[in-house]
Amino acid sequence: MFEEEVKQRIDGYKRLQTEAYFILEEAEINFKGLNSPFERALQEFKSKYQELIVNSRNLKELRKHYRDAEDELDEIIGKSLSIISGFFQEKLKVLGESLNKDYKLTIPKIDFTILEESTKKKLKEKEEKDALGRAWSFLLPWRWLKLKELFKFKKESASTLEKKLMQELKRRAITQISNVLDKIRDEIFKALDYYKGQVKLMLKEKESQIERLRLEIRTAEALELEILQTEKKLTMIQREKERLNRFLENLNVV
Amino acid sequence: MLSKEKLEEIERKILQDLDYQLAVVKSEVNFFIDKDLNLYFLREFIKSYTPKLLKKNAEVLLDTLLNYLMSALSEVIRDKDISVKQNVVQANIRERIKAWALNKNNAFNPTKFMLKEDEEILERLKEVAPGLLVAIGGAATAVIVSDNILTKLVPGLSTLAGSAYVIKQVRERVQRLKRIWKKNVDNYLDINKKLLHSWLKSVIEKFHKEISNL
Repeated sequence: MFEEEVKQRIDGYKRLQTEAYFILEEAEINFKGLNSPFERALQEFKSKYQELIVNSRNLKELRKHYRDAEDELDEIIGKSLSIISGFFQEKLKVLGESLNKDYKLTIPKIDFTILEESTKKKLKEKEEKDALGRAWSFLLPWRWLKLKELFKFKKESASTLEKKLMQELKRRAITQISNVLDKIRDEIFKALDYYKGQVKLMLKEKESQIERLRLEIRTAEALELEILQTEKKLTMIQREKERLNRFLENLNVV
Repeated sequence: MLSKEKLEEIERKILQDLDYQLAVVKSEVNFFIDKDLNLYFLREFIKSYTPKLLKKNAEVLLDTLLNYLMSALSEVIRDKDISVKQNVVQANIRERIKAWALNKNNAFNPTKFMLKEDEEILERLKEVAPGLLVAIGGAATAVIVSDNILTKLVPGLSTLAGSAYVIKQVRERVQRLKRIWKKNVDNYLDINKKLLHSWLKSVIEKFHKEISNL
């Protein structure tokens, strides 16, 4: 009975391993490559803001486009992460139900909402701390004052100054939009890898559970063997006892 | 495991994607060329940005190709016995093929982008003596600054050259330069398209070989 149950669970684990692999594959297909909604959103974002920024007529317009771009990028990140979380949550839920029904196998729950929140937080911290933040933050008004170009042209009229500043800002913006997007793409892929890592971790945990069960079977088999041997010994003792009794009886008769 | 026809179909699909991606790169670079930006900046930008864009696109195309191949493989083994599926799981094909394709010996590396015609013009302009600025100097100034500064140059150049002829010449020169750059971009993309195609094809072949061994 116990053996049967263990065998069923081992079969269940094999199915879990296979199905989880196909879920991870589906995740790659859905979230990477040209046809993924994330890649399309990044491309649309890039062409939209390249055009808006290059065509900006004054600093006010340029600053507005930057603020909008920042908001839109946050939205793309948030939406992408939540789609990825939703995908894993749903797929694992369905798989868990089916495994439980067919093999009485339960899979540990992974809280993707917490994962999503912590990834968002990490991305935000990254934006603020490293190159991602610096790329955008040069547009903050106080930073403009630091531009060397501003001092170089200080003797010129205000309108010439603004034109030169606009040229400089546009130049930086053009190169940095693409850098920022590359970094965002890398970060989202890292998040995806992290999610996949959690699924793989869950598989490993399950694998060690199965290993323990296998060990239990081996122990049970060993116990069974011991019992059999003891039973055999008992039978032999019993036979010996009977033989001795018969011998004693014969002695008494004599 | 995958039929020859299926692999050919995948190759056709990825070639369409490649064409599409290169058209996007071309239109993006041409968009900047058409804009009123500092020409020195533009020249350096195109030279570094175009290969970088190609390299990034190559990675996206690789993911797309692996998606096509893995989808086809999943389709084939969907109804197969669990032992067949387990073989595929253990083989970890996607990761291995991707690592192979991005390995420094096999990876796609865009060729160096040279804007030859531009180098020649700028070199010639450097040789122009300050006293001879009247004839070509306007062009030199205009190449250094952006198009929109041209209007600012009108009074100064008019005194020097005494006519709007110089401005016209400068404009034409800049436009000609930009047309040459666009041709350079076209040629560059054509060369790299061939390289990208053979790289993607080698990935398909490697994939086919790997799954045949399963």
